[in-house]
Amino acid sequence: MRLLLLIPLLFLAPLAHADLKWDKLVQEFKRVPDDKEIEAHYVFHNTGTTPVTIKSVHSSCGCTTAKLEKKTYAPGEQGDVVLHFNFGDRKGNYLKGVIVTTDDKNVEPVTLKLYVEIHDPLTVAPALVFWRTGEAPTARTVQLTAEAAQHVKIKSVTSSNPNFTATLQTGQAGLNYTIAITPSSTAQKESADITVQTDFPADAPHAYTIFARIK
Amino acid sequence: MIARALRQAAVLLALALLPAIVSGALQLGWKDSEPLAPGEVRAATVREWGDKVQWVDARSRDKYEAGHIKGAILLNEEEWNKLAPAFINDWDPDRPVVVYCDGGSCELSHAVARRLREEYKIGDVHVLKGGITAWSEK
Amino acid sequence: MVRKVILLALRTALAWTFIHAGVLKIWDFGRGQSATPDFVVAIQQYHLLPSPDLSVLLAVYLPWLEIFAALGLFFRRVRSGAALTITALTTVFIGALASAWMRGLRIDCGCFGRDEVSTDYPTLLLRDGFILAAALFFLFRDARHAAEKDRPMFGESGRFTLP
Repeated sequence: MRLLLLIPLLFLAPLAHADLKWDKLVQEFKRVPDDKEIEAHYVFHNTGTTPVTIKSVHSSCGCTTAKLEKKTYAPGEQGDVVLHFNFGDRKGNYLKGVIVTTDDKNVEPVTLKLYVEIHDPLTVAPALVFWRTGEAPTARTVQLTAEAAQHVKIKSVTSSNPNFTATLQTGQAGLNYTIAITPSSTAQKESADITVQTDFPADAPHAYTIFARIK
Repeated sequence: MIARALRQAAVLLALALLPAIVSGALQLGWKDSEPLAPGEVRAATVREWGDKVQWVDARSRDKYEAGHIKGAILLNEEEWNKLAPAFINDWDPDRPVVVYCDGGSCELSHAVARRLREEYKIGDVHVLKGGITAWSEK
Repeated sequence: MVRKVILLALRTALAWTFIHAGVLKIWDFGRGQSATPDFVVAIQQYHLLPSPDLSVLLAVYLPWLEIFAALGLFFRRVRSGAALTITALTTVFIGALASAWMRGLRIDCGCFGRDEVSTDYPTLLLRDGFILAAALFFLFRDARHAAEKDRPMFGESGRFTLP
């Protein structure tokens, strides 16, 4: 008998109607590591007939924080969730998500997505070269490629260990270079950090490290 | 009054056991037969490799300091530039590298493994399926 | 009559909270896969259980207990037991949260599998506090009513009576 009473109750809920409409749920950006962070705004509107209170804006990562000015939005009101993503030392394609839940059971939790492609203006491949002890001390080559849209010039190449020589060859100035690294001998375990100084960005030119090791 | 409630609670606890046992058996069975994604390796396989393994912890510094697999080096994307040199100095080309994070749907280990393969061209890199959770079980 | 409807609504809300919570710990609808591995990770974040095997056992059993306790709220035969179970569960959750808060732990939800999240302890504890209050309300109410109206399982006609 009691159970029958449940049924009409379940239908009552959708009548007082709450709804949040989002302008964009997914945003994509391309950045360089030196940008260090990004801020994305996700605008929403309360298109329902009842006020909606945002219960939680839940980020999946400590590097991504979400900010909201206030929690309750009246019907017709607009608000925005600001996603702030700290790059750290990341390089590559990342998807950061934030789940927004409201106090209204009829409003489904929504996932705000932020796609960020963090790419280095100069690609160093590989960033590690090694020889086994006793191996022939032949040169190892590292390719440095800049993007066509952003030329990067190499100003200097220095080795931290005199037993490793690093010679720069320019393919197309500003676009591609080759560095040949040669150890004087592979008799013992040794290490060197090859520092590649560039001219970009102009205000704080970036230096890249190539690790050379005899293991 | 409480005695009745306790008795009824016991009934509920017992009733919940049945589906839990079935669901548990299915889940655990699934875990072992779940196909491996490229680059992944199961805890059982890594155990066979023994001491040769070079462990890499892809999680945050806080979690690493709270507890990590013995001998693991911290290497996460947040502090990659600072942590990579230590890893490079320790790395032995003749030993397999196994990267782990929490387990479940944690993707950090895959991201770190990808960078090791792409940036340093280290080929013998694997990701521990099930993360540190799988390693500490049995 | 209105009082009955309000009570039923409150009972339904409490039950729905636990059924919802239980189901989501079993199956990840967003990704169409089992949610148990992530729940195991979540339990381990609290560092309260001595062994990882216990975490797995708890991760498998707890959701079903939540679901059965929630459903039990609607059946007179087991409703005080259900309220007692929910009260006990909520008390344990509050205890675990408070303990984690005091130790300054950041609990990972494992949603996208990336790293840690800032756990909003005050809000979670407040929410669980309300749930506990509702559970206690039904515990004392149902237990009292059960004592007053003790229906025999078989009526005078010898037929089995419905709860």
